[in-house]
Amino acid sequence: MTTQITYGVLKAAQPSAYDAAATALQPVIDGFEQATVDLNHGIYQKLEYSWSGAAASAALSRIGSTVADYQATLDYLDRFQGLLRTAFDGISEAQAYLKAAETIAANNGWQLDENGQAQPVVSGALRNRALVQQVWQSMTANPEYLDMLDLIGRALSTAQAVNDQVSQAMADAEQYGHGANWKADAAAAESSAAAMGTRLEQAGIPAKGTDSAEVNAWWKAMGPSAQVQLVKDQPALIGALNGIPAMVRDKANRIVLSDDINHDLQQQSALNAQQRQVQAEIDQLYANGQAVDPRTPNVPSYQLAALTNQLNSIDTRLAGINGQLPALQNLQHELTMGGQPYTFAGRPTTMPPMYLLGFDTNNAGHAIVACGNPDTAKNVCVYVPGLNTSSNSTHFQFDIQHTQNMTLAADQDTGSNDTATILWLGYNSPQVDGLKTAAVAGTGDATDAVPNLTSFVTSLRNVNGEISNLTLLGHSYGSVVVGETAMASHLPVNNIVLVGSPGVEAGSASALNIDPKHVWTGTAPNDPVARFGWFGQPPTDPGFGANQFTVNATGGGGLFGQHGEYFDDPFNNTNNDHGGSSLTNIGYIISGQTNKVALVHPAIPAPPRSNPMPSPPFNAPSPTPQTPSPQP
Amino acid sequence: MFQRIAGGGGYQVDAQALHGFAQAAATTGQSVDQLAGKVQAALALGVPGGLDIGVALQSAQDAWNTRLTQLASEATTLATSLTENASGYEQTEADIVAALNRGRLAA
Repeated sequence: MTTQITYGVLKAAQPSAYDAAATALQPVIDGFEQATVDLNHGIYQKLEYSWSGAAASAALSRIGSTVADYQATLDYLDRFQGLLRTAFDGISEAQAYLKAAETIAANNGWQLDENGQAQPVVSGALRNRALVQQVWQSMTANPEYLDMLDLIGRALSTAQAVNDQVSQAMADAEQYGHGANWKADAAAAESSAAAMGTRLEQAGIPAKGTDSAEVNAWWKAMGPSAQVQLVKDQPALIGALNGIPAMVRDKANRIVLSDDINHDLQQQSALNAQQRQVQAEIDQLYANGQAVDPRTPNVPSYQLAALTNQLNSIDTRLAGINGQLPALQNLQHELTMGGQPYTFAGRPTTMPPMYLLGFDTNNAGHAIVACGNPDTAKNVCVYVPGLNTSSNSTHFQFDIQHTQNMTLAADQDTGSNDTATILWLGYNSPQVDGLKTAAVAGTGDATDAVPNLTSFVTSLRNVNGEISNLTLLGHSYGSVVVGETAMASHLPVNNIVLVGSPGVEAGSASALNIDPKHVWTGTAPNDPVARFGWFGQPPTDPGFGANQFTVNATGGGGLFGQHGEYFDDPFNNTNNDHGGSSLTNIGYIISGQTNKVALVHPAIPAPPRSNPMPSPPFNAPSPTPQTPSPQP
Repeated sequence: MFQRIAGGGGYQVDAQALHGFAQAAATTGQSVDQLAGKVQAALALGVPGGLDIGVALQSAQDAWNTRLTQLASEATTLATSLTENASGYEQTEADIVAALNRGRLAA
């Protein structure tokens, strides 16, 4: 049974105390969050992947259970702080209503007693009953009197609602503090974690980051039935492991993609229903005249503010899903294009098979999509896209289209289906707004990508020993990723291609740890990104020491039109851009026919470095210098 | 810090690393124990606000103090368990070394 909120009780309330408590709770939450992170990331996750055996199983089970306790407690602490904020907001608003009522009373010479009842101020001379009655009638007939009563009513009802709801919720949370509520949840979580741990231990799934040759050997040593079961049980883990065959990763990642689409559909449906319900409640508030303070129409009532906040939260989540869901459905559709009739370079052909080699929706999303089979292809290209690439965006279909075009261009050159081009969005592509902020992206995301890209590129040869030409291609900011990765170690690639590059952080082509004769670069004449040199010397500068191939760009699509033309099929594109010779030249490089590449200038040898790394262990043919073609 | 078991059967953590994790768990326990007092003080600030909310906050102080103290204790228990595991590994290694030495002497 809660306290009846009266005028006197509400006047005496001190909402600022709730705000002070909420503020004082913040360092506790911050400290506890850090403790939770320390336990989970600093101890549990490290031990999970480094300690095995009976003692490890027992210890990990116990640590996992403690981590679950900490995470649940952190959640409840957050909720408790939210309740304090709600109490501050709600009681403050109720007192504001009261203050407005008191102002009306004061302006009219009325007094409010302890119970909130208004009385006219009667002077000592007015002892005549009839006159007193007249003063009372005058007060009650005043329209402002009704306004005042309405404000007092709103104040008390708002305060009562806040008091009842918050104190009850605090009592529920307090039960958690006594350890009553969480036990069932924690037991279920512990059971699930233990079951997962057992399954992983039985399967011996290598940790992410394990050498891809070792992963490949582990996979091959497993029986077919165990392999099938693992794909079903752990699609996200299997799908993300470098060293697993593309066919298998594709099956696993398609399961993950399908699950995520279904999850989004369910969330979308639930949020739409919630949105309708909250909107109906808001409409009802307006219909009842409870939405705003009649004396201060710009101030929403407590109830309206709470519902509006709820609606905004729903809208935000719904907008995220509404943006992501079509992108995932597009991706799913693109994967079905393998084997379908297609027109490329004005001629009918068949789209090579499509493979999903990696996928998740974290941050702006990550996806690794291959056109052609990397397990069997002789020519393989890894294409790293640039700024603002997001697999959670519908624009991602154009990146896939570029990938398909590169495979088709290379296959057209050789006349056979022996090319796989892989769109590698395995890093956090910077999501920036416009040209001016692009430079702010910095190289952090590129350097963070180095271990993953190195592992992926290396894994391709570990799975497919028949690759003749392995090309690493970076477009725009992707060329920075490629540059950082190539500088960090000796990649097993035959060629590096940099297009539309704002610089690659390397002083010269020779810094990329590959024979500069196998570094290729191209830029459209009016590509603004390639002119800025945000990340060092443009690789198209002859002094950089790379081959520059021709790019026939015509510049459709505004300021950045030419920046997106490098992979366009001039006979079959959806955005009226014309890449022309760029795609042709890239196709020649991917297919190993580098002597056909039309050059603006060949690689000019840079002065020898003091500590050159060893040469690539492949028979990479040197390009035949061509007569330089005029830059269009 | 970690050594891979030959044959790709998994990983093995060494005793020294376990001691490090035990120390980390003990540190976490100590920091959470300090938070238990702070949460009580923070919630006490809201009690004078009055209404039933103040009453609920009065009661919640003890509850949250108890809960965080329990969790601090859980972390300390983990630290003890990890230390025991580390000691066990060390003892096993010492026994093996001793046995090998005995064998060498006997030979």
